[in-house]
Amino acid sequence: MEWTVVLWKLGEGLLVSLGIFAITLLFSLPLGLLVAFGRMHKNPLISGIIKIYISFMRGTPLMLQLFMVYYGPYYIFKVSLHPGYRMTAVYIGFILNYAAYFAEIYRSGIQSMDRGQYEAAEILGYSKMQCFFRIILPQVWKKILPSITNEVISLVKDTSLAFSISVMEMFTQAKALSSSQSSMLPLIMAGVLYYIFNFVVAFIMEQMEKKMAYYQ
Amino acid sequence: MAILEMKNIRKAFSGEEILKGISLSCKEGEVLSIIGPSGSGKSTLLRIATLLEKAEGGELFYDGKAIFSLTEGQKKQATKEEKEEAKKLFGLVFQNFNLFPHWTVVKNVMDPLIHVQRKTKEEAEEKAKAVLSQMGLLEKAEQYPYSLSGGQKQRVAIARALALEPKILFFDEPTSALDPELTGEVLSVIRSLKGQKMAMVIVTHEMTFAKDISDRILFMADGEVICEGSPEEVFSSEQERMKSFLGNYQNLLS
Repeated sequence: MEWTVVLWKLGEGLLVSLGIFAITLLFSLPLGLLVAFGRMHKNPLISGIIKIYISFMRGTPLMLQLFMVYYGPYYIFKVSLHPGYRMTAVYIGFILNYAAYFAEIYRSGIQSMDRGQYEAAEILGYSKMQCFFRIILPQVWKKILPSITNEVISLVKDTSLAFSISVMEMFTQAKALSSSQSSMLPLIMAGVLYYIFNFVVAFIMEQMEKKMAYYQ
Repeated sequence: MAILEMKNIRKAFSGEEILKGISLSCKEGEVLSIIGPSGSGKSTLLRIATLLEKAEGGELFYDGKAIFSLTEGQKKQATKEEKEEAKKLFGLVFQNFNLFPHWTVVKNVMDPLIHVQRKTKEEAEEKAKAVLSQMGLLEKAEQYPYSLSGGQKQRVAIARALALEPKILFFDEPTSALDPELTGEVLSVIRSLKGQKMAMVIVTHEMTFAKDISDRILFMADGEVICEGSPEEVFSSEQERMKSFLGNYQNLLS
C-alpha cells in the first residue's frame, strides 16, 4: 500500500480524534465549573457526592470508565443500544472524566482568590452572579490557564483510549494498518501526527496565556 | 438626623470579645475618626457597619431605618431588599485597595456605574473621568492597577467609591499599606473631600491627620470607647488609657 493511502486513512482517524477532543473540551470545561460549585457547596450531602464522583474519576483508569459507559447499559440493564452509541459513549466517558479534573483546577483557582475582591464587589453593589462572572472568573482563568494547558495536552493523547471500545480514531486506524501490513510506518506516522496536533494545541494555549499577560 | 447610628454593638471571635458594646453616630457631612491601638476592634466595627461582618448584639441604623436590631428582647434583621437599599448609602475604602486588576483604572470606576447603577456607558464614562480628575489621576485612566504606585491605587479606590455618590464613606486604615511619602498624597485627597455633603468615618493611625480633619474623634481600646469628642477634647483628655496611647505621639512631636 502506498504511504499516501496510509496517510489518508490516518487523516480520517485524525478527524475522529479531533472530534472527541473538541466535544470533550466544549462540554467538560463548563461542566467542570458546575462540578466545582458542587464540590464547594455548603450542603455536605452535595459536596460529599461530588467529592466521591471526582475521586472515582481521578482514581480509576479512563479506559475502564469508557468500558463502563459503553457496556454498562447492556450488562447492567440489559438494554441493547444502537451501534451509534459507541461514539456517544466515548463523548460521555471523556466529558465526565475531564470535568472532574477541570473541577479541581477551577476550585483551586477560585479558592486562591483574595477575599478582598469579593468584599469590594459586594460593597460596590454587584450581585453575587455579577461578582463571579465579571470579577472572579476572568481572574481565575488567568491563574489556572497553565494547569488547563496540561490537561488539554493530555486530552490529545488520551483520545487514543477510544481504541479500547473500537472507535475508529487515529490510533485504532494506525494499529489496524500496522498489523495488516506488518509495518511500523503507520504507527510512526500516527506518532508524528499526534505530535503536530499537540504542537498546535500548545501554541494556541501559549497565545492565550500571552493575551492574558496584559495585567499582573 | 444621623445617617449612621450604631448602638451597643457587640462581637466576639471564638469566645473572645472584640467589641464590648460600642455606640456611635454620624451626621450628614460630619467627619468622624476612630483611633486606638491595634487590635482594639476598630476595623471590625467598620466591617459591621458596612455589613461585611455580622454583629452578635446591638443595633444598626442607616437614615433612621433599622438594618439589624439584636437586643435582649428581640432579634430583628432587615429584609434583603432593605439591606440593598441601605448599601447604596455607603462606600468603603479598604486598607489594601482591592482594585480589580484585570480592568483599567477608568473601567474600575465606570463598571459599577453601568452594572450596578444602570447608567449608560456615556454617563458612566463622564462621571468616571470627573472623579478621576478630581483625584488627579485622569492621565492614568487607561492604565492597569499594577502599574500604579500604592498612593495612586488608593486614590483610584477612592474615586471608585466616590463615583457612586455615597452619603457616607468609610475608610479602613487607608494609608496603612503605604510608605510615608505616599501617605501624604492620599491624606490630602481625603482632606479635599471634607466640606461636601458626604459624611466620612475614618479608621486611622495618622494622629495629626485625624486631629486636623475630624469634627469628632472616638478613641477605642480593648473593644470599648474610652473617650469621644472634638479633637481638642480628645487630645487633651486626662483619661489614663488615652494619655498612654497619645503619650508616644506627643513625645514624637515635642
